Amino acid sequence: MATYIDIITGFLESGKTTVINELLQSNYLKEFRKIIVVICEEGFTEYDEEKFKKMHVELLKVENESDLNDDLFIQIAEEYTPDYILVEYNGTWNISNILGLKIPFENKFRNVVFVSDAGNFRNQLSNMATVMQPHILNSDIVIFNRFEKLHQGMQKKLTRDIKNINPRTRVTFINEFETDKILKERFMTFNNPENTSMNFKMNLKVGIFLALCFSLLLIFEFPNAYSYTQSIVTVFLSILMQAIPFILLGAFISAGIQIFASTGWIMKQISKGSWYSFLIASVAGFFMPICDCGMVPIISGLLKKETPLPQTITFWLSSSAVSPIVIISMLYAFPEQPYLAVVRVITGLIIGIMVGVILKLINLETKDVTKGNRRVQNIGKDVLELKYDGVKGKIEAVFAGAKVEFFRVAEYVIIGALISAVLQTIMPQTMKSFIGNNIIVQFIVMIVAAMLMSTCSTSNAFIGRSFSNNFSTVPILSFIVMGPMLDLKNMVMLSEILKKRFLLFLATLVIIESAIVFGALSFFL
Amino acid sequence: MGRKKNMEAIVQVFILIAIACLLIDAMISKKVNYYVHPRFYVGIWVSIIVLILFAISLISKIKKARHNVNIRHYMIFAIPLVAALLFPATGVNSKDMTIANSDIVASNSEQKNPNSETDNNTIDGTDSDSYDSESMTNEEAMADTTDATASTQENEQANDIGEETVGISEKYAQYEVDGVMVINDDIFADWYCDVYDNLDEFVGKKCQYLAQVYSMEDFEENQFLAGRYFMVCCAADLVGYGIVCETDIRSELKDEEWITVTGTISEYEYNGYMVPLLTDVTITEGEAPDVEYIYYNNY
Repeated sequence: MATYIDIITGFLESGKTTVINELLQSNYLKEFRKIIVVICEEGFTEYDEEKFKKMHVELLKVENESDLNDDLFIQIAEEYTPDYILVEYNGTWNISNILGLKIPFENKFRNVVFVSDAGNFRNQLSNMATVMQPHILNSDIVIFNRFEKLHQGMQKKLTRDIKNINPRTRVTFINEFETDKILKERFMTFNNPENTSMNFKMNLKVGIFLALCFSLLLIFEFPNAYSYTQSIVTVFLSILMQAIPFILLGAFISAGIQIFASTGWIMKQISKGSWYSFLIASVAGFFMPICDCGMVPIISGLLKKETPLPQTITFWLSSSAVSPIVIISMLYAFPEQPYLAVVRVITGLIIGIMVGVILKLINLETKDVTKGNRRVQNIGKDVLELKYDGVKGKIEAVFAGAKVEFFRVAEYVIIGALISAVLQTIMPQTMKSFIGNNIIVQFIVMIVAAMLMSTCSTSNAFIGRSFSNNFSTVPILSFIVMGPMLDLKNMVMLSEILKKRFLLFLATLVIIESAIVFGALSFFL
Repeated sequence: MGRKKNMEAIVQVFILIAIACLLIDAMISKKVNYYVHPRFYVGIWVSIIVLILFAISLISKIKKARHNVNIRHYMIFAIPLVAALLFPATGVNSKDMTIANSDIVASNSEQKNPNSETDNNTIDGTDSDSYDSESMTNEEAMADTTDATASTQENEQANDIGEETVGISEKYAQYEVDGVMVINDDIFADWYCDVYDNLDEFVGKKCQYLAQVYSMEDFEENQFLAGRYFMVCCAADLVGYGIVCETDIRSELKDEEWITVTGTISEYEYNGYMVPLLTDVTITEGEAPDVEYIYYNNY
């Protein structure tokens, strides 16, 4: 059987020693015959060494961070042959230092518990984020104590703070050590009630895996199914392939925006929040010639910087209309009707500005619509660990930030590309049956297509053109203009920072406005 | 003795290297042609370099031990990686692609002809407002399309005689060999559009190009479509286009076979549209080209 190592970490006076004392006296550990407590700090509550002796508990002290070395756990194993090790770890030390130590094979790090004083937590987090975050990031459980004076809402906020840093960790406001559900789960070694449900989960996983293998077998068995899947996969991979360069570019720009805080004049203008800034926000996209999937990380970067919501949204909606690449693609797709490129730019600008102005009028602010408390998580976790001085350090930080951004965005792009690949292979047939001569039906079909097809703003002019046999000009224009605005893939990506309810509201607003704009347009074209 | 590692970093390095390797493989083996337009090549090479740099920068992080890391969400990266390995892309010449693009091939008839119609319309509509209303009536009154097209055709003729008669077909004079326009892949897209737009100018000319054989449900027994797949941006927008051919040896041709077709362009009314038709066709066996798609070179 494995010898577990549990680590209790947290700042001085956070109540670690109390937690350890409670644990040692609790049911959880009573089965152990030989317990070692490694203390990396001397807290206020002194340990009662006399009592410990009776309980087969041995105390060991590590005074300095430099005393943590590979011999520590090996020596403990040789000298004491314990069946359980508890470490009280110093909250200001680097947590990877202890986790990275060599340990005998029978040892296993089980729980990392972060203990915090509920009243001081937020203060400490904003002052010492870089010190604290790694501890929370590596923890399985976060214990808050001395929370009695807090009101109910505050507990929720603290839980959200923790979950923002590490969604996997469990948060508990502790009353009774013996009955606490989370502690019971994590510390009970014997008669673990979790075992049965673990088994069930295990079986479920095996079942899913077998089902996957079986369906793959079926696909390979039937040539029709194989080639159908292959065509979906080809479309899927091709969307990803053309997106990768743009995602990387977007990730770098986004990380750049976050590190070099005040990126120039445009950003300042957008942040000003004046009425005049709407105009600048709407044309700013001209200077960022990348496609809309690369634009999303930039938008979330801006929102994390807490730029005013209306201007940022105007910037986002208009950017795909005014980008030089998009204008060129329009000219190439409709060489005989160059005025359509102008129409696209103007409609894009109008919709963008109108949505922005409406958001301003109803007084929505960035913090109302963004998810949770993102202050500390502004920059990727990796960036926080860097000490960046000077230009070289900043470039390094941008590079690290871009990497984090890449992994996060890529997940959403993969999901979006998969959905649109499947839909694109199914769509053409279904769409034909929808098409009537009614321009309103055409408009609706085009909006649905714009949402689902996830075509890049730089290439959707060409796809729109391929509809020209079945649709008239205005619905096609609406497809091209609204594609990037309503794109499901972009929405999924934005939902990472924006609340879903707001995105739904935004989409509705865009649809209503474009109905007005394109309705008016159909009188002219 | 064991030592904890940073699983997250290990997984990330693995993913980055795997993506980079797949991309390099696709670029070197030219499989990338099946996925995206050549204009993305530079971007993909740059991406490969950046991905590898990311991986290198992560190697030092592997030693930083981590506890309770969530690597489950990286599972999603397995989807494209596994998919790329299990379902490697093959060309349209293989049978697999028939189904993949069967709807495109099948809809070719609709795709191709109205396309020509719009093009016709747009040509004569460049400087007249009548174009849009006309194209709308065209689409709204599909039943009357024959007349509409006929009228546009006439308009076009009038226009062409007026201003553009010289030029379009002259463009291809330099490719003529013994009175036959030899259309290579690089000019095929332009040429194809021009033929549709200015059909009457090309009537009577002989041309030769490499194509694949496609059959259409509503074709007559001696007809087939000599066509190619066109790519604008990526595999998501692949569309098959071709010209109707008449031949006596139709029964000897297999679907998707590569052929070099030589014939004389003439007009043909198909579903109410005037489309080019190759008559007097000679067919020689063709070899599948390295790059099977036709790429639009615009932009």
